[in-house]
Amino acid sequence: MEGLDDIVEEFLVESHENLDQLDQDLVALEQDPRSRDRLSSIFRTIHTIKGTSGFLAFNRLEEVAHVGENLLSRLRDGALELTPVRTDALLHMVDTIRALLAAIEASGGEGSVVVADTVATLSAVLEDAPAPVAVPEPEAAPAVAEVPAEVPAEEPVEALAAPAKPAPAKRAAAKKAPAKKAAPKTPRVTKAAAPAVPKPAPVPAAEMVPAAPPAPAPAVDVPKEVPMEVPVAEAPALPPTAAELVPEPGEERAGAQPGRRAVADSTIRVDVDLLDALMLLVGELVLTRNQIVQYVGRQTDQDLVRASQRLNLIASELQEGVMKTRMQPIDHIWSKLPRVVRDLGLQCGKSVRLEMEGRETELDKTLLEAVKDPLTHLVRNSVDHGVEPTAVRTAAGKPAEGVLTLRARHESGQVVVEVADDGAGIDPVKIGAKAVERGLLTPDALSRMSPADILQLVFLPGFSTAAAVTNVSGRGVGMDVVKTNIESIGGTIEVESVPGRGTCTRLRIPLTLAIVPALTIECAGDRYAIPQISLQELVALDAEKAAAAVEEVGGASVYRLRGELLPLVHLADVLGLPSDRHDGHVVIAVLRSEGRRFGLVVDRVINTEEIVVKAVGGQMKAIGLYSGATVLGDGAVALILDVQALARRALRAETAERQEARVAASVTIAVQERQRMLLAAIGGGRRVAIPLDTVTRLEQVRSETVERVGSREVVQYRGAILPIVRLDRHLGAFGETDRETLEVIVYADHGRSVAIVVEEILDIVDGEASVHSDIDDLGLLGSAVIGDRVTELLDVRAAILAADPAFYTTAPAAFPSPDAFDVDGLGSTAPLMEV
Amino acid sequence: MSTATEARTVPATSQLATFWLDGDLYGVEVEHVQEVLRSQSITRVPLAPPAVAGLINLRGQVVTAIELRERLSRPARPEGEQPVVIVVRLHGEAVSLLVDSIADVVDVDVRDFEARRTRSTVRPAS
Repeated sequence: MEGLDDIVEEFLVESHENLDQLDQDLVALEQDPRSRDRLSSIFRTIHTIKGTSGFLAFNRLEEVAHVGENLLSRLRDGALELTPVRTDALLHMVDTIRALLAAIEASGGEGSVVVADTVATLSAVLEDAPAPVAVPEPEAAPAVAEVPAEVPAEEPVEALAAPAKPAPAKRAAAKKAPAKKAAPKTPRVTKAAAPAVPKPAPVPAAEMVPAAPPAPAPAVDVPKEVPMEVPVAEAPALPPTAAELVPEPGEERAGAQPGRRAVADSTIRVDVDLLDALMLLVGELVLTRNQIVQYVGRQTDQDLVRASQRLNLIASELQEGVMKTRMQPIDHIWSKLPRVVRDLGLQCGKSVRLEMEGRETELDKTLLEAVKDPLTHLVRNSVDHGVEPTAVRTAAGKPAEGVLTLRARHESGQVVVEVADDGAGIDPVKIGAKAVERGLLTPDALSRMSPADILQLVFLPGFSTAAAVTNVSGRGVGMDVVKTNIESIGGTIEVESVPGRGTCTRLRIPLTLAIVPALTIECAGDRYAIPQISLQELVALDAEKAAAAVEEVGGASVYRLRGELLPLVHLADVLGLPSDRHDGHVVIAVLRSEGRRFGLVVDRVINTEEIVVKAVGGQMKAIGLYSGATVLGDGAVALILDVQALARRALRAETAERQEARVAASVTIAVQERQRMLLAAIGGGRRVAIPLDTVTRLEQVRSETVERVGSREVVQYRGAILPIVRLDRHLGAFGETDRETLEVIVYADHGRSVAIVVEEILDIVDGEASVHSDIDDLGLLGSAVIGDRVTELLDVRAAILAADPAFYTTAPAAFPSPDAFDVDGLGSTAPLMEV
Repeated sequence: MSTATEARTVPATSQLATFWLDGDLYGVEVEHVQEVLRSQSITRVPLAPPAVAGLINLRGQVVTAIELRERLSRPARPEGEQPVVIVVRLHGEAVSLLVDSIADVVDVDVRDFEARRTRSTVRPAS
């Protein structure tokens, strides 16, 4: 265990606070002795101290608290009335507890603090007749006599497990002795007080009596006995309940109490509103700092420059410090989850073990609150639908007990939280089919999506009905809500899954909401900010490169980024403004949203800076493009782009457009449609054109990774086995065979993929070839003149079947009927259709 | 005072901050007016409703600017004429109105009010 010390420390801080509260409560209680609420609250406090001290083996503390609790429980139940004497005894108890806490804090043990007299006093008032008036001396004695009778009656319950039977007796004896000591003291004080009060009315006298005892240290000689009784039997039963311990926030705390010491002084409770206000001010300071630094950058005055550098540094540190005050470990919300998992597991008849990694990871309190519900939802989802029932697991050869893992870590200025299970996983094929069935997607669009993209469909609102969930894979109840919640705090969510092996949902959450690092860009003369959380990389292309690398596909532009087709969104178009970039250069901010990447084309990149997010009015929010606004270094206002909304808006529009185009093409086959073709060399000087929209991805594969299954070649690719067809062999050409890396065109449909190996990827061209010919050969659909060269049009279907004969049979419904293909070789438009 | 029974919310006399817009005089209740500014740089908001002129930095606070000429269906302000910004606070939220120029603060007796005849103007009868 990393810290008994931590536990003790926490206990001390908590107890100090609670005692302060107790002082006030007790005094207030005197005014209003019937307040059940206050009594209950006091009772809980003492009860907690008793429980924790028993647990931590602070026996004397426990003893005091125990007697106090007895008294309080009777007061609470109305069996006894609160008299000033009793109040006083309770206050005395509080003082003793303080003294004990101080000793514990100083030495780690209870030291030499004497508790016997306090216990006696408490026991005495406990036994007191209900007479609410002054404690007459004679009654004190009988009280003592009754102690032994009373204590053992209670004790056995508590000391059941105590090995030493004589313990109760000893304790009784211990109590008896000090009680006797205490008794004689009372008259002395009373006498002293009496002269001071001319007309000694019983009540004021009684008030005086208890006021005195705590002060003088009663030289009692019995304490030796006390530590000897060891009954900690009760300890495990009483972990403190956190909820009960938290005092009212905003409660005025009295100034320094004599009992409080280092530990208590080292922490302080602060109103969250105050922290919010501080955070705002720091935000303003950061902005002003940015302005000054920018301004000073143009100055030559050395002193000014130095001062501004220091300002820069201090502001950063201040910002960090204030941010830290708002940070809380994620464990605060995780701590409730084991129970959730356990209960739900029992309910579903599954055995699930919850593991947590990185529970000390801290993030902003507000964010923590915001993440709580989505996280709980994800955990429930994982237990409910992710982890399979025990029987299924054993049948699948997995350990019967499912494991749910929560991971949290800091990663480049964000907090990454993962909820991972080792359950059945999500099958992208089923998800995709469901999405099509529900009309959320066309089979077309689906066929272009990678399995990873398809998984993100579970976040679509239409997916969140129970029927979809049970039919498909048991995922998606309210996933769209989870997503909305996460996005509302500027976070992102994505899901990964390996069928049969498990699912992992990953949240990326900004550290704090108020100040975020952002990229400032320019578009059409205005500046905008993009939160860094969405930014992956920046690509700048000069005019020449841009012309070659940025392609138009069915009215949408794409850029081939390291072999992957990156859809491009032109910010100027989205904003409906004319771009002021006319030199052909293209600047792309590669952004990630919902697990998908896209490129945002901007006019130019300006800077990265820390921005303070300012709320904008409802009218601005409703536009659905801006998540807020900020004030830049020079004082100008800049809008913060809502990347998620942007992606949704732009990419959806683009998809719709493409689909329209495709529908049009299928209706009027005669109409030549503009079609992008991928040109590839296959060796022997032959060139083949492949419709670009059938291409999922371009990859390079090392030739030594190619393995054989029977007579077929396969390669392991993203956790699946990818069959390969070598186009040169397929078409009877003679390419080089001994190259180290193979250029591969991956084609995926309904979760199955094949790889077509070509010699070299040459170009992407406009396929509006006017000269078509039906001169063809096996595996071809015809030929055309593209770029002054005769180019063969690949029969993609045949090529794919050569690699994977079962490719189309698995998902026949979603596939257009083969009749759509003009295999007679007459229509070279045939490959333009969706394959 | 005599009208107090009739309209509790409107005091007997009310103060209006008046301003010019396309040759007409308009007024807003003075207690809503937070301040009047000149020559603010405005950040336009693409795709916003036409009446939204953009955003203004008001000492660190981002405030939406409404072009009143557009809002009240008046012709656009001539080129080169700088608008004056009236910052009003309504329901705790600051909004700024772009007007041609600011005029006096006038006291208007409530009895002089007439029911409005046009869509969205309240003209003090003088």
